[in-house]
Amino acid sequence: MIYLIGILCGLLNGLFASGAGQVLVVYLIFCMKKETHLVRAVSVAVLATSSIFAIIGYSSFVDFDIKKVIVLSVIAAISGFVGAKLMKKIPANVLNITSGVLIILLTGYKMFFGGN
Amino acid sequence: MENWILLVVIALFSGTIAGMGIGGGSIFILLTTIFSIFEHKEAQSYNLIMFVIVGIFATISNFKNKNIDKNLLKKLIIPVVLGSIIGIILVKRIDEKILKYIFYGFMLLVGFYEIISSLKNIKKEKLNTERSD
Repeated sequence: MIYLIGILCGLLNGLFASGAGQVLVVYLIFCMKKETHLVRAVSVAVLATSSIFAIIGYSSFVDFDIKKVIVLSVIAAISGFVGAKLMKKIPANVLNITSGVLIILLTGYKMFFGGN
Repeated sequence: MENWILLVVIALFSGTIAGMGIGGGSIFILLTTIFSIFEHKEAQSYNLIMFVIVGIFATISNFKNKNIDKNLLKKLIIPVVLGSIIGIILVKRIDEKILKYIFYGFMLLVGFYEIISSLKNIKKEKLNTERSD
């Protein structure tokens, strides 16, 4: 089952470029009863790998502005470190509720205001 | 220039949330499209690039702090890569509209499930601490 969820998660990330990690996280935390912090760390690592492939899929749609890529990359490096450090300190339930709210907000926005 | 400042602020905020593994990518796409910094597909692409880098640095930090389940990671990495490759092949061939609505339904379900389960956990924990008092 875990391998199937892995494939599904990669598939969703390749198709939609966001939200796929949540499927993985919800399965592992609430169905397999794994520890929230350890699972979210795994999801970040796995999704980052998956995103390398997803970029290849998306690069044919978009002309990247190299200046923006560089600025965003630097910020990403810093905020990645900060986020990982912060995550350890936040209680599991707070993390899980926040991510639930965020996913509903994004889905609602996508549904009503179009886009992909 | 204004756009740049906004973009940096959004990137810092969503990058941190992404590093925590609670859906920073979603916020990045949401905010950059709301403030019309990017088109939707553009936002998704930049988000992917950002997330790769956020992921690398967050994972280094998590490994250092032993805050990661290594066994799970080993089990998942190959299936996820496989799924991603299938995903990028499919993304150009599948009818977007149908797929889109399946995805929306799925995501809403996941979100609500997450919130309800967490609230139940909080309630349970409260009961347990009251009992132990």
